[in-house]
Amino acid sequence: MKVKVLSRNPDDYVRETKHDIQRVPRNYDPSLHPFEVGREYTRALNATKLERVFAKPFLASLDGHRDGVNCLAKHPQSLSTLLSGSCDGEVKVWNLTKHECVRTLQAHEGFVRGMVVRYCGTSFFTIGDDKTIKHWKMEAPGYGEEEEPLNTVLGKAVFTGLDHHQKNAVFATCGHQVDIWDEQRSTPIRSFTWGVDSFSSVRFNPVETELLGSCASDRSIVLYDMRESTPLKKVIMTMRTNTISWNPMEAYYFTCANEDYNLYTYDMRHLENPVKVHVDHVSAVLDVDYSPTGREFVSASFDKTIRIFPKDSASSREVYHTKRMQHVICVKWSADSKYILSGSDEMNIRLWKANAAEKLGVLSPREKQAIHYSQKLKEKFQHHPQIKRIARHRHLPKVIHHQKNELRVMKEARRRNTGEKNDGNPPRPPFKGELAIWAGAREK
Amino acid sequence: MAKVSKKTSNKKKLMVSCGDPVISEGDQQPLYEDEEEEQGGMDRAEEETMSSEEDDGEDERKRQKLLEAIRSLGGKRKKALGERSEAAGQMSEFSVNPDAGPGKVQLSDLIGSLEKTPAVPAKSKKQLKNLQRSKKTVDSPLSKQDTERIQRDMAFQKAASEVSRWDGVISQNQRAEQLLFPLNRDPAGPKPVERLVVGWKARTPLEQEIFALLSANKQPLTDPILTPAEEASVKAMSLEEAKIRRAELQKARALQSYYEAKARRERKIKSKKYHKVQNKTKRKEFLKHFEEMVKMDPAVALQELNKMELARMQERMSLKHQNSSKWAKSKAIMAKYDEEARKAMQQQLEMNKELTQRLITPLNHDDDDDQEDEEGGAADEADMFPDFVNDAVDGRDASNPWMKGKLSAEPAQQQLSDTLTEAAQAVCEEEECWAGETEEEALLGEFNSRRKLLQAQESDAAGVVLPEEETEDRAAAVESEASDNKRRKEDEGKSKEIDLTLPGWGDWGGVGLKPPKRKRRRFRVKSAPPPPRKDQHLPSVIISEKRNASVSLHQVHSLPFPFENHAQFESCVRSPLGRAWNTERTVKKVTKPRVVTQLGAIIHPMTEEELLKNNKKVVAREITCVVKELHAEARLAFKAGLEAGRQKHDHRDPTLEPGLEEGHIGECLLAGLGSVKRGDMGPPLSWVHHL
Repeated sequence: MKVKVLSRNPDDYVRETKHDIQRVPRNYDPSLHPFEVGREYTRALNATKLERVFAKPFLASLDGHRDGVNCLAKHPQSLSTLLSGSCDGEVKVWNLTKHECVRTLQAHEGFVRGMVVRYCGTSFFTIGDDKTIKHWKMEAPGYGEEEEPLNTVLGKAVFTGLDHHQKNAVFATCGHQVDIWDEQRSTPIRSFTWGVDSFSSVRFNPVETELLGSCASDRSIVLYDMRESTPLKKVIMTMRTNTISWNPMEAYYFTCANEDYNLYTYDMRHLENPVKVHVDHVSAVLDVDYSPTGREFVSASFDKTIRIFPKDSASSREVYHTKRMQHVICVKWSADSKYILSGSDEMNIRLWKANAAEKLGVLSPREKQAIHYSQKLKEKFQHHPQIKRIARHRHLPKVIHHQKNELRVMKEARRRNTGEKNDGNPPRPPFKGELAIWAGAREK
Repeated sequence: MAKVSKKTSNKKKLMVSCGDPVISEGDQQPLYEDEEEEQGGMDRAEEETMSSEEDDGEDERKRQKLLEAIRSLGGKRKKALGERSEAAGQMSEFSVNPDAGPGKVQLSDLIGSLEKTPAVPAKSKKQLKNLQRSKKTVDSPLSKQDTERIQRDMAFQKAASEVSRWDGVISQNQRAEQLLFPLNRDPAGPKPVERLVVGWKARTPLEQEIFALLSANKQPLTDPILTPAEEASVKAMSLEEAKIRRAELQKARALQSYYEAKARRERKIKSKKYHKVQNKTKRKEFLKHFEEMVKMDPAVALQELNKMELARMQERMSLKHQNSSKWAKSKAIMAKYDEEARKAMQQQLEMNKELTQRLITPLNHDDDDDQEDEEGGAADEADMFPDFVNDAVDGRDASNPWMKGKLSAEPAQQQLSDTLTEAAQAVCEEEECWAGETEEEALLGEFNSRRKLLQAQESDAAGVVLPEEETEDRAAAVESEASDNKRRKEDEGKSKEIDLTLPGWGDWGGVGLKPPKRKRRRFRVKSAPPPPRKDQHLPSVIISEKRNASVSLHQVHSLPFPFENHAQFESCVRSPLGRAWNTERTVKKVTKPRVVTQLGAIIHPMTEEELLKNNKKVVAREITCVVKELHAEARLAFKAGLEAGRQKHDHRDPTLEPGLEEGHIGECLLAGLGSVKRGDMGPPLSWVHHL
């Protein structure tokens, strides 16, 4: 007689070593796992809610300056080092992990206008209202030594912006003209002017390292090539641009922070129209800095908020504010793309997380997997109204909220006035964002 | 004429400003001016300095005059020094008047003087002459603004084209499923010492001493994989060889030590019994061995045999194991009471027997053959009979009913019954095997009758509850009702005609008047047909298509941006991502994050290396595409060749197969680029990463 018995193959359930993963028998039969869409929707909803629950972006505030923080500089080699210059001419070097100031030096009389660390990280440059460029060592002076710059250059006029070349001993300043300096010389090796005006910021392109961009107070953005004798191109916008920032991963894109509350991303080859107009701020945008991954940027505004924009989205994905933070003057995205640093009027430097709900520190593989899964679920169901509502919700200070509404009303009114006319002509194409209004941005 | 005068004036200005002693050549003038435009174009500061220098020149002249006047005041007249003055000094722009006066300077005058000077090279003289011969006037130079604009345009175009080389990298990164930052990651884990202590040097005397020692003994400073000595040995012998040799040596050494140890151990054992046993086993072993030896080499075997024979002879001669020794006698006395003593005596006798026994060897097998047969007869009796003798006798008798049962646990029988149950239809087999079919039939018949009885009972019960006709009626009624309902639902959805005629509009109105037929036809509008119902193909099923308010709160009302139609979006939502529905690998692939950064790593901006990497990738992809294409082409050509071979009248060029025209390679390339690992679900990547 044939007898059938339950047979088990030990290979199916016995581990070879104790370090092996436990085998979990799975049955993927769809009839055993019904309602997949509904279940995943619930998961996505929960994940979205939890994200909002855990969104605590503010990490620390570094206080110590005795005047508003006017400029910040990242260290290119060390993540934990930050430099800040204030309006009383003081420069402080911070240790971010310990949240403490490691060095203070009186660099200038009057404002510290700009500051940049050399690409090697061993020294840094500062410019100030006292018409000087100073070159400092990164190391603090030894005991008994005096705090003195390595080199000081006295210029003819006030310098307002400063940036260093990515890999050569060359830096650029701007004031009433854009100058290119060799570190070893006391006179600029090249000067660019195009019309008489004062410039507010100059930035080297980090990818195409010989290109520069600057913005002037005649509402223009001017591009230069360090190797050419003349500037390359100029755009004049409706209002003044405060700062520009180049995308560190995409050579020809840059974003500029404008006084008209907007940010404009341009392709440097086609300056006729911006690639994207980023709206959301309710006051002048003062500073902008790209994430080192080149996928997002952060902007600081006079409306006392910081906003994070995806590079190709018109509206911000995040807004940071605190009760005590005043006009944010400068902002930087840390070199590991995890943190944001902002310096504001009320003398504090603030450290924020770039992703508000992100868990910091080392994650276990399971945690990582769970996070990736919930992230994808959120993406998948992002268009569903309930999830969208929760994901988009941000608390805004009352003032900003009202201002935002007011701006919306103004915009609509302007659209009504300029746009649709009931004159029997075929209707105009629908309104396509901010660009239609600020079409005044024209090329010269 | 005006043009020329302008030029000269320009030139003068220039000469004044630069203080150039050479009277400039006419042919180089326009060029010179251009340069001036370039230089002066950059800043107006220079211009200002120019005008101030002009003023200076005037002042100078005035000063000279004043000095001369003062000198003339003095009584003595000094001999005037022969001063060499330049033409430029005397010909100021103020002395030249635009309307051609008598003092007008002609260009030809200046050129005339040039020809006389020997210092001017012949080449430029020739050029001058050529210029004089051609009557054309030179174009006036562009204005400063224009030149600058042109220069800027040129520079911009150059920069733009230079930047455009990043196009490939950027678009690829936008398309990429996952981006890893920093771009060139260092492998994780500890770095080798060599890389860390690159700049370290021995400074203290102790360190230096140690270093000297190490270097003298050819010892490495760092921790390389092989010391110099090892390297030398490696060079002397190939690696494989060395390995094999080392393994052999190791094995030999191990074996040797093992045997030595064993021998030492055995030698130490004092037990007589052990040695006895040992000897016995050795002997047995030897005997076993001996039989083989007989077959293999009989000469050696014969020697051994002789030895054994000798031992036998000795044994037979001696009284060693005959229980006649003193010891044996004493044992014999004790044997009565002592078991062991008895045993010992027995063993002695056995030993004697064994030793004196005559060896039966295959050598003399032939002689002993019959004898052996006789002896082993009893033992081999069992083998003589085959196995089936012991089997149960299959003594079934058809006439005896008691013999019809199965034998218990008989394998042959069981098999048979198995087959029977499995294939009940194989009646013929049954007939062959079983003699008593009649009994079977009887049994079957009984079963049949029982079944029929049961069926009858069941049908009776059903008949009591509902007569057959009645049930049919009710079912029909329900069905008709359902179909009516459904029809109603369907009708509700159907497109209706809407009458838009206005009675009395453009016509006579009043009671009892109908709008004319033409108008009715014109103003009767048919609404668009609704989309087909979901329950279209399901009979007697109604799926409600009403809008559910509570559900609609959670539903997407308009098609989100990257999707092009509803089907795309729905399929995206419908495909689950979780682990309950997907295999582990799929889940990992589907939930891969877009951007991965390393904890605590600095992300540097993109460098030119990326460009090179990308170029390599693209080239590789192109090559693979082209190779694939060529393969496909070759295959097609081969096929075509075969076909051509088959049907000889049809001569086609195999390379011109349909769908293999020019540009096909390009298409393939594009397809290759497009299919860079597209995700299983979600919208096509080209929509997502627009910019």
